[in-house]
Amino acid sequence: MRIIINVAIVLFIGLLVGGLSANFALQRSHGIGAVNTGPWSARPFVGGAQIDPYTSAKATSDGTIPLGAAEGLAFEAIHDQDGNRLQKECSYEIAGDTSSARLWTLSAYDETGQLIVNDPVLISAIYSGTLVRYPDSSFVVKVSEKPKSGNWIPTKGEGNFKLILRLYDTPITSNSGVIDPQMPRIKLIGCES
Amino acid sequence: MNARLIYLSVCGLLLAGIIHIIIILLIPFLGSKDAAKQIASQLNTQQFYSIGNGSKFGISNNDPFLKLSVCKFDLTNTAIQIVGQKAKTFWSASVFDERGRIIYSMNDRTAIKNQLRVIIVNPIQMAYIRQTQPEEVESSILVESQNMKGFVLLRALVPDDSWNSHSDGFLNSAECIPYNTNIAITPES
Repeated sequence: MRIIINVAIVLFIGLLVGGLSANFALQRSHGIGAVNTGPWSARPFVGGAQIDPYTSAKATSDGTIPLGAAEGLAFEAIHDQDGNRLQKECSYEIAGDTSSARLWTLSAYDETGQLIVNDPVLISAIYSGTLVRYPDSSFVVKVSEKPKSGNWIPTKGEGNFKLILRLYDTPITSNSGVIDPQMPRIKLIGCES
Repeated sequence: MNARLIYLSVCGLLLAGIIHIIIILLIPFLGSKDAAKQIASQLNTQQFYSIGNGSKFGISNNDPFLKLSVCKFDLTNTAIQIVGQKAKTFWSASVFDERGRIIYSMNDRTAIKNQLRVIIVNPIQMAYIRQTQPEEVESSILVESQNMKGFVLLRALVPDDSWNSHSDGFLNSAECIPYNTNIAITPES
């Protein structure tokens, strides 16, 4: 009897802690094998034999097709600069500059991985080539439900969302390793309640 | 009693570590949302299909500014050659194995003469190519794959609708054709 209880306790702890920690490692944006700058987190997908199992598992469980090192790098953010979860009912300002890249796109997705707004005329995404910038090449992108002047990414509804900034053809994925990428700040402006 | 509990907890945590590793390593085989699995099960080989926005594929977190095109290949009987026309827009290509892991990636600036020319071979076909040194190899990028099956994904940038003709032109021109490696192999006399 005592042996059965012992085995049950070990199994319970093992399954619970093992399962939760694996789930946690994949759900967390700043996971193992990731490169983090402020709220942004990227998982460089290095080809060949050195594939990080966490990167592989994350891509599979998200249903995404990852970017190769020569293609670019995708940075994901689910929190603002102060660590609060990004909410669709709030407005944000994404300000600063990115690491050098030939082009980049910034898109806002809901929790199912679909663009928040995806109409023929309006999408929750912005492309670096059509961006309005300051003379020093820095920029501000406003994320909100109501239209804003300048660069604007529309949202609607309520609940959590995430931002993905993809740098295409960027030197930071070169084999010398990803070195301290420069990313814009995500500032909370206010929430409608 | 206390010593027993500590002992059991340590055993439990050891088991937890093992289970954690097993789950992480098994997800690429068992995942159901897996884009690679959808491609492997639903497409024919040696043909490019447009995927992404508005297609039957449920690819999450898709970039709206890029159009995707995918070709599944099987190297068991033949090597595969990927060729495409020059394009005015940014494009990139990546070679994946069956489980969606990237073997090789490139973009229009890393390509030879900015042109899409890739030959994907298995190790045996690679040996043939080394022996015969066919002409195409000079203008193509050779990718050796340990796995027989996989797929090639092309991405082309569409900043707005006026660019559709450029990106479609590139993606539609892309071909995924068998490449014969064992021609002209004669035993050394």
